Amino acid sequence: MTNNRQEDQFLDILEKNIGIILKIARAYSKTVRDKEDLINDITLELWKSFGRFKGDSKISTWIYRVALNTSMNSRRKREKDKLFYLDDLKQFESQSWIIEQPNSSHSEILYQCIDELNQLNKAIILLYLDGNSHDEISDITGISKTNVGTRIGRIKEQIKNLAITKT
Amino acid sequence: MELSELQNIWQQYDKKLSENTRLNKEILRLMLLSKPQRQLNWIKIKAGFFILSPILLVLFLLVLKVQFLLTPNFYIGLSLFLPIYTITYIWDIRYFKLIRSIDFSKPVLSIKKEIAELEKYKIKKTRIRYLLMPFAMIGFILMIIHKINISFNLVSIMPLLLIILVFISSLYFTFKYSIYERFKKLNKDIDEIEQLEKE
Repeated sequence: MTNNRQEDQFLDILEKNIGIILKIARAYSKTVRDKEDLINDITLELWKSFGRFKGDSKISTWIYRVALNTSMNSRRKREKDKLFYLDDLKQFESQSWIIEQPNSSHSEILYQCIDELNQLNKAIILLYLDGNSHDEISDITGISKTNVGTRIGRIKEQIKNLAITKT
Repeated sequence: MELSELQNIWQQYDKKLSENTRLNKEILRLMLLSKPQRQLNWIKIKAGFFILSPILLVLFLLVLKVQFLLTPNFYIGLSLFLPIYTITYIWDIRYFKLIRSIDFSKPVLSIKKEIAELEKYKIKKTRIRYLLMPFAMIGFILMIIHKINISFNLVSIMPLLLIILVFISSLYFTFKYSIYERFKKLNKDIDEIEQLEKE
Protein backbone atom coordinates (compact mmCIF):
# COMPACT_ATOMS: atom_id res chain seq x y z
CA MET A 1 0.00 0.00 0.00
CA THR A 2 1.45 3.39 -0.92
CA ASN A 3 1.79 6.03 1.78
CA ASN A 4 -0.81 8.33 0.24
CA ARG A 5 -3.35 5.56 -0.12
CA GLN A 6 -2.74 4.48 3.46
CA GLU A 7 -3.18 8.07 4.64
CA ASP A 8 -6.45 8.46 2.72
CA GLN A 9 -7.76 5.18 4.08
CA PHE A 10 -6.81 6.18 7.62
CA LEU A 11 -8.43 9.62 7.30
CA ASP A 12 -11.66 8.02 6.04
CA ILE A 13 -11.75 5.62 8.97
CA LEU A 14 -11.01 8.47 11.34
CA GLU A 15 -13.76 10.63 9.91
CA LYS A 16 -16.31 7.84 10.25
CA ASN A 17 -15.29 7.05 13.83
CA ILE A 18 -14.30 10.45 15.19
CA GLY A 19 -17.25 10.35 17.61
CA ILE A 20 -15.63 7.48 19.54
CA ILE A 21 -12.41 9.47 20.00
CA LEU A 22 -14.22 12.66 21.04
CA LYS A 23 -16.39 10.92 23.61
CA ILE A 24 -13.51 8.98 25.16
CA ALA A 25 -11.21 12.03 25.20
CA ARG A 26 -13.92 14.10 26.89
CA ALA A 27 -14.49 11.43 29.55
CA TYR A 28 -10.79 11.08 30.37
CA SER A 29 -9.79 14.74 30.52
CA LYS A 30 -10.47 17.58 32.92
CA THR A 31 -9.88 20.67 30.78
CA VAL A 32 -10.45 21.67 27.17
CA ARG A 33 -6.68 21.83 26.59
CA ASP A 34 -6.29 18.32 28.04
CA LYS A 35 -9.06 17.07 25.79
CA GLU A 36 -7.41 18.54 22.69
CA ASP A 37 -4.07 17.01 23.65
CA LEU A 38 -5.71 13.68 24.27
CA ILE A 39 -7.53 13.74 20.90
CA ASN A 40 -4.19 14.42 19.22
CA ASP A 41 -2.47 11.64 21.19
CA ILE A 42 -5.20 9.12 20.37
CA THR A 43 -5.10 10.04 16.68
CA LEU A 44 -1.33 9.63 16.58
CA GLU A 45 -1.43 6.29 18.40
CA LEU A 46 -4.07 5.12 15.94
CA TRP A 47 -1.93 6.26 13.03
CA LYS A 48 1.14 4.52 14.48
CA SER A 49 -0.74 1.25 14.96
CA PHE A 50 -2.68 1.49 11.69
CA GLY A 51 0.08 -0.31 9.79
CA ARG A 52 -0.17 -3.25 12.17
CA PHE A 53 -3.96 -3.47 12.00
CA LYS A 54 -4.73 -6.56 9.92
CA GLY A 55 -8.50 -6.56 10.30
CA ASP A 56 -8.56 -9.40 12.86
CA SER A 57 -11.11 -7.43 14.85
CA LYS A 58 -13.74 -4.84 13.97
CA ILE A 59 -12.38 -1.37 13.19
CA SER A 60 -14.41 0.08 16.05
CA THR A 61 -12.89 -2.49 18.47
CA TRP A 62 -9.39 -1.45 17.39
CA ILE A 63 -10.27 2.25 17.78
CA TYR A 64 -11.85 1.73 21.21
CA ARG A 65 -8.82 -0.24 22.43
CA VAL A 66 -6.25 2.30 21.24
CA ALA A 67 -8.33 5.27 22.45
CA LEU A 68 -8.94 3.79 25.90
CA ASN A 69 -5.35 2.60 26.37
CA THR A 70 -3.99 5.98 25.28
CA SER A 71 -6.40 7.85 27.56
CA MET A 72 -5.55 5.70 30.57
CA ASN A 73 -1.80 6.20 30.04
CA SER A 74 -1.67 9.65 28.54
CA ARG A 75 -0.41 11.82 31.40
CA ARG A 76 3.02 10.25 31.56
CA LYS A 77 3.48 10.43 27.80
CA ARG A 78 2.45 14.08 27.61
CA GLU A 79 4.98 15.11 30.23
CA LYS A 80 7.64 13.27 28.27
CA ASP A 81 6.57 14.95 25.01
CA LYS A 82 6.92 18.42 26.51
CA LEU A 83 10.65 17.89 26.89
CA PHE A 84 11.10 17.73 23.16
CA TYR A 85 8.66 20.31 21.90
CA LEU A 86 9.92 21.55 18.54
CA ASP A 87 9.19 25.11 17.40
CA ASP A 88 8.50 24.15 13.82
CA LEU A 89 5.48 22.14 14.89
CA LYS A 90 3.75 25.01 16.68
CA GLN A 91 2.14 26.17 13.46
CA PHE A 92 0.14 22.95 13.28
CA GLU A 93 -0.78 23.01 16.93
CA SER A 94 -2.16 26.53 16.81
CA GLN A 95 -4.63 25.37 14.16
CA SER A 96 -7.21 22.87 15.22
CA TRP A 97 -7.95 20.07 12.76
CA ILE A 98 -11.30 19.38 14.34
CA ILE A 99 -14.39 21.56 14.53
CA GLU A 100 -17.00 20.45 17.03
CA GLN A 101 -20.06 21.90 18.70
CA PRO A 102 -20.09 22.57 22.46
CA ASN A 103 -21.81 19.92 24.60
CA SER A 104 -25.36 20.34 25.85
CA SER A 105 -25.98 20.79 29.58
CA HIS A 106 -27.57 17.33 29.75
CA SER A 107 -24.57 15.58 28.27
CA GLU A 108 -22.36 17.62 30.63
CA ILE A 109 -24.27 16.19 33.62
CA LEU A 110 -23.82 12.72 32.23
CA TYR A 111 -20.08 13.31 31.82
CA GLN A 112 -19.88 14.62 35.40
CA CYS A 113 -21.44 11.35 36.60
CA ILE A 114 -19.07 9.27 34.45
CA ASP A 115 -16.14 11.30 35.76
CA GLU A 116 -16.80 10.00 39.29
CA LEU A 117 -16.16 6.40 38.19
CA ASN A 118 -12.78 4.65 38.21
CA GLN A 119 -10.86 4.27 34.92
CA LEU A 120 -12.08 0.78 34.08
CA ASN A 121 -15.73 1.38 35.01
CA LYS A 122 -15.60 4.58 33.01
CA ALA A 123 -14.47 2.58 29.97
CA ILE A 124 -17.20 -0.03 30.48
CA ILE A 125 -20.03 2.50 30.76
CA LEU A 126 -18.78 4.49 27.76
CA LEU A 127 -18.78 1.29 25.70
CA TYR A 128 -22.20 0.37 27.04
CA LEU A 129 -23.73 3.78 26.31
CA ASP A 130 -22.30 3.59 22.80
CA GLY A 131 -24.43 0.49 22.27
CA ASN A 132 -21.69 -2.17 22.34
CA SER A 133 -22.78 -5.69 23.30
CA HIS A 134 -21.37 -7.48 26.35
CA ASP A 135 -19.29 -9.60 23.98
CA GLU A 136 -17.76 -6.53 22.38
CA ILE A 137 -17.10 -4.86 25.75
CA SER A 138 -15.41 -8.06 26.91
CA ASP A 139 -13.31 -8.13 23.74
CA ILE A 140 -12.22 -4.50 24.09
CA THR A 141 -11.48 -4.50 27.82
CA GLY A 142 -10.30 -8.09 28.37
CA ILE A 143 -12.84 -8.64 31.20
CA SER A 144 -14.98 -11.77 31.00
CA LYS A 145 -18.52 -11.45 29.61
CA THR A 146 -20.12 -12.42 32.94
CA ASN A 147 -18.06 -9.85 34.78
CA VAL A 148 -19.04 -7.18 32.24
CA GLY A 149 -22.72 -7.89 32.98
CA THR A 150 -22.22 -7.72 36.73
CA ARG A 151 -20.20 -4.53 36.51
CA ILE A 152 -22.68 -2.80 34.22
CA GLY A 153 -25.45 -3.52 36.74
CA ARG A 154 -23.40 -1.92 39.53
CA ILE A 155 -22.29 1.07 37.45
CA LYS A 156 -25.87 1.75 36.35
CA GLU A 157 -26.93 2.04 40.00
CA GLN A 158 -23.95 4.24 40.78
CA ILE A 159 -24.67 6.57 37.84
CA LYS A 160 -28.36 6.70 38.65
CA ASN A 161 -27.60 7.85 42.21
CA LEU A 162 -25.02 10.35 41.00
CA ALA A 163 -27.43 11.74 38.40
CA ILE A 164 -30.09 12.29 41.08
CA THR A 165 -27.67 14.29 43.23
CA LYS A 166 -26.44 16.34 40.27
CA THR A 167 -29.84 17.30 38.80
CA MET B 1 -33.11 11.22 36.26
CA GLU B 2 -33.65 7.64 35.05
CA LEU B 3 -31.04 5.61 33.23
CA SER B 4 -33.15 5.37 30.07
CA GLU B 5 -33.21 9.17 30.04
CA LEU B 6 -29.41 9.23 30.31
CA GLN B 7 -29.14 6.80 27.42
CA ASN B 8 -31.41 9.05 25.34
CA ILE B 9 -29.20 12.04 26.17
CA TRP B 10 -26.18 10.01 25.10
CA GLN B 11 -27.73 8.97 21.81
CA GLN B 12 -28.75 12.55 21.03
CA TYR B 13 -25.26 13.73 21.92
CA ASP B 14 -23.76 11.07 19.67
CA LYS B 15 -26.00 12.13 16.77
CA LYS B 16 -25.12 15.78 17.31
CA LEU B 17 -21.41 14.92 17.38
CA SER B 18 -21.48 13.08 14.08
CA GLU B 19 -23.57 15.80 12.42
CA ASN B 20 -21.53 18.75 13.67
CA THR B 21 -17.97 17.47 13.71
CA ARG B 22 -15.86 18.26 10.71
CA LEU B 23 -12.25 17.34 10.14
CA ASN B 24 -9.77 19.61 8.46
CA LYS B 25 -7.97 16.85 6.62
CA GLU B 26 -5.13 19.03 5.40
CA ILE B 27 -4.04 20.09 8.89
CA LEU B 28 -4.56 16.54 10.13
CA ARG B 29 -2.44 15.14 7.29
CA LEU B 30 0.40 17.54 8.17
CA MET B 31 0.09 16.61 11.83
CA LEU B 32 0.20 12.90 11.08
CA LEU B 33 3.31 13.33 9.01
CA SER B 34 5.17 15.55 11.44
CA LYS B 35 4.24 14.31 14.91
CA PRO B 36 5.21 10.65 14.57
CA GLN B 37 8.47 12.01 13.19
CA ARG B 38 8.88 14.03 16.38
CA GLN B 39 8.13 11.00 18.53
CA LEU B 40 10.49 8.93 16.44
CA ASN B 41 13.15 11.56 17.02
CA TRP B 42 12.64 11.32 20.76
CA ILE B 43 12.91 7.53 20.61
CA LYS B 44 16.02 7.81 18.46
CA ILE B 45 17.62 10.29 20.86
CA LYS B 46 16.92 7.97 23.79
CA ALA B 47 18.11 4.89 21.92
CA GLY B 48 21.17 6.78 20.72
CA PHE B 49 22.01 7.83 24.23
CA PHE B 50 21.74 4.29 25.58
CA ILE B 51 23.64 2.74 22.71
CA LEU B 52 26.32 5.42 22.70
CA SER B 53 26.76 5.54 26.47
CA PRO B 54 29.71 3.05 26.41
CA ILE B 55 31.45 5.32 23.88
CA LEU B 56 30.77 8.30 26.13
CA LEU B 57 32.26 6.31 29.00
CA VAL B 58 35.36 5.48 26.98
CA LEU B 59 35.72 9.18 26.07
CA PHE B 60 35.39 10.05 29.75
CA LEU B 61 38.06 7.50 30.63
CA LEU B 62 40.30 8.93 27.92
CA VAL B 63 39.84 12.45 29.29
CA LEU B 64 40.81 11.18 32.73
CA LYS B 65 43.73 9.34 31.12
CA VAL B 66 42.87 6.09 32.87
CA GLN B 67 45.53 3.55 31.96
CA PHE B 68 45.69 -0.22 32.29
CA LEU B 69 47.98 -0.85 35.22
CA LEU B 70 49.30 -4.14 36.48
CA THR B 71 48.37 -3.32 40.03
CA PRO B 72 45.91 -5.18 42.31
CA ASN B 73 44.01 -1.91 42.90
CA PHE B 74 43.34 -1.46 39.20
CA TYR B 75 42.17 -5.05 38.65
CA ILE B 76 39.94 -5.06 41.75
CA GLY B 77 38.50 -1.72 40.61
CA LEU B 78 37.91 -2.98 37.08
CA SER B 79 36.30 -6.21 38.28
CA LEU B 80 33.91 -4.16 40.42
CA PHE B 81 33.13 -1.45 37.90
CA LEU B 82 32.87 -3.30 34.59
CA PRO B 83 30.28 -6.01 35.47
CA ILE B 84 28.04 -3.46 37.20
CA TYR B 85 28.24 -1.07 34.27
CA THR B 86 27.55 -3.92 31.78
CA ILE B 87 24.56 -5.22 33.74
CA THR B 88 22.95 -1.77 34.08
CA TYR B 89 23.58 -1.10 30.38
CA ILE B 90 21.82 -4.34 29.40
CA TRP B 91 18.88 -3.49 31.72
CA ASP B 92 18.51 -0.04 30.17
CA ILE B 93 18.44 -1.48 26.66
CA ARG B 94 15.93 -4.15 27.74
CA TYR B 95 13.70 -1.54 29.40
CA PHE B 96 13.79 0.58 26.27
CA LYS B 97 12.89 -2.43 24.10
CA LEU B 98 10.00 -3.31 26.43
CA ILE B 99 8.60 0.23 26.19
CA ARG B 100 8.73 0.07 22.42
CA SER B 101 6.96 -3.30 22.33
CA ILE B 102 3.79 -1.99 24.02
CA ASP B 103 0.94 -2.20 21.54
CA PHE B 104 -2.09 -0.09 22.43
CA SER B 105 -4.38 -2.13 20.18
CA LYS B 106 -4.42 -4.94 22.78
CA PRO B 107 -7.30 -5.22 25.29
CA VAL B 108 -7.35 -2.64 28.07
CA LEU B 109 -6.58 -5.10 30.88
CA SER B 110 -3.55 -6.57 29.08
CA ILE B 111 -2.09 -3.10 28.58
CA LYS B 112 -2.77 -2.13 32.20
CA LYS B 113 -0.92 -5.26 33.31
CA GLU B 114 1.97 -4.75 30.87
CA ILE B 115 2.44 -1.17 32.02
CA ALA B 116 2.29 -2.13 35.70
CA GLU B 117 4.90 -4.88 35.04
CA LEU B 118 7.04 -2.36 33.18
CA GLU B 119 6.86 0.08 36.10
CA LYS B 120 7.83 -2.75 38.44
CA TYR B 121 10.80 -3.59 36.23
CA LYS B 122 11.84 0.06 36.27
CA ILE B 123 11.61 0.21 40.07
CA LYS B 124 13.59 -3.03 40.45
CA LYS B 125 16.18 -1.63 38.06
CA THR B 126 16.44 1.59 40.10
CA ARG B 127 16.63 -0.31 43.40
CA ILE B 128 19.39 -2.68 42.30
CA ARG B 129 21.24 0.18 40.62
CA TYR B 130 21.22 2.12 43.88
CA LEU B 131 22.56 -0.91 45.73
CA LEU B 132 25.30 -1.58 43.20
CA MET B 133 26.31 2.04 42.67
CA PRO B 134 28.62 2.32 45.73
CA PHE B 135 30.58 -0.73 44.50
CA ALA B 136 30.86 0.73 41.00
CA MET B 137 32.03 4.04 42.48
CA ILE B 138 34.59 2.31 44.70
CA GLY B 139 35.73 0.31 41.67
CA PHE B 140 36.17 3.48 39.61
CA ILE B 141 38.05 5.23 42.40
CA LEU B 142 40.36 2.19 42.74
CA MET B 143 41.06 2.37 39.00
CA ILE B 144 42.15 6.00 39.21
CA ILE B 145 43.51 6.03 42.76
CA HIS B 146 47.11 6.41 41.59
CA LYS B 147 46.10 9.82 40.16
CA ILE B 148 44.65 11.09 43.42
CA ASN B 149 46.85 12.70 46.01
CA ILE B 150 45.15 11.86 49.25
CA SER B 151 45.97 14.00 52.21
CA PHE B 152 43.92 13.64 55.31
CA ASN B 153 42.86 17.20 55.98
CA LEU B 154 39.36 18.70 56.07
CA VAL B 155 39.58 20.41 52.65
CA SER B 156 40.50 17.15 50.86
CA ILE B 157 38.00 14.98 52.68
CA MET B 158 35.08 17.44 52.49
CA PRO B 159 34.11 16.73 48.79
CA LEU B 160 34.21 12.98 49.45
CA LEU B 161 32.07 13.38 52.56
CA LEU B 162 29.59 15.51 50.61
CA ILE B 163 29.33 12.85 47.86
CA ILE B 164 28.69 10.15 50.48
CA LEU B 165 26.13 12.31 52.29
CA VAL B 166 24.20 13.13 49.10
CA PHE B 167 24.25 9.49 48.04
CA ILE B 168 23.01 8.21 51.42
CA SER B 169 20.24 10.87 51.58
CA SER B 170 19.13 10.06 48.05
CA LEU B 171 19.16 6.33 48.85
CA TYR B 172 17.16 6.89 52.04
CA PHE B 173 14.46 9.07 50.45
CA THR B 174 14.14 6.92 47.33
CA PHE B 175 13.74 3.73 49.32
CA LYS B 176 11.62 5.07 52.15
CA TYR B 177 9.20 7.38 50.32
CA SER B 178 9.19 6.29 46.74
CA ILE B 179 10.15 2.73 45.88
CA TYR B 180 8.38 0.63 48.53
CA GLU B 181 5.04 2.45 48.37
CA ARG B 182 5.02 2.41 44.58
CA PHE B 183 6.05 -1.25 44.49
CA LYS B 184 3.29 -2.22 46.93
CA LYS B 185 0.70 -0.32 44.90
CA LEU B 186 1.86 -1.90 41.64
CA ASN B 187 1.70 -5.41 43.11
CA LYS B 188 -1.82 -4.66 44.35
CA ASP B 189 -2.81 -3.35 40.89
CA ILE B 190 -1.39 -6.47 39.20
CA ASP B 191 -3.24 -8.75 41.66
CA GLU B 192 -6.48 -6.90 40.93
CA ILE B 193 -5.97 -7.19 37.18
CA GLU B 194 -5.20 -10.92 37.47
CA GLN B 195 -8.29 -11.37 39.62
CA LEU B 196 -10.39 -9.56 37.01
CA GLU B 197 -8.95 -11.75 34.24
CA LYS B 198 -9.83 -14.92 36.20
CA GLU B 199 -13.42 -13.90 37.08
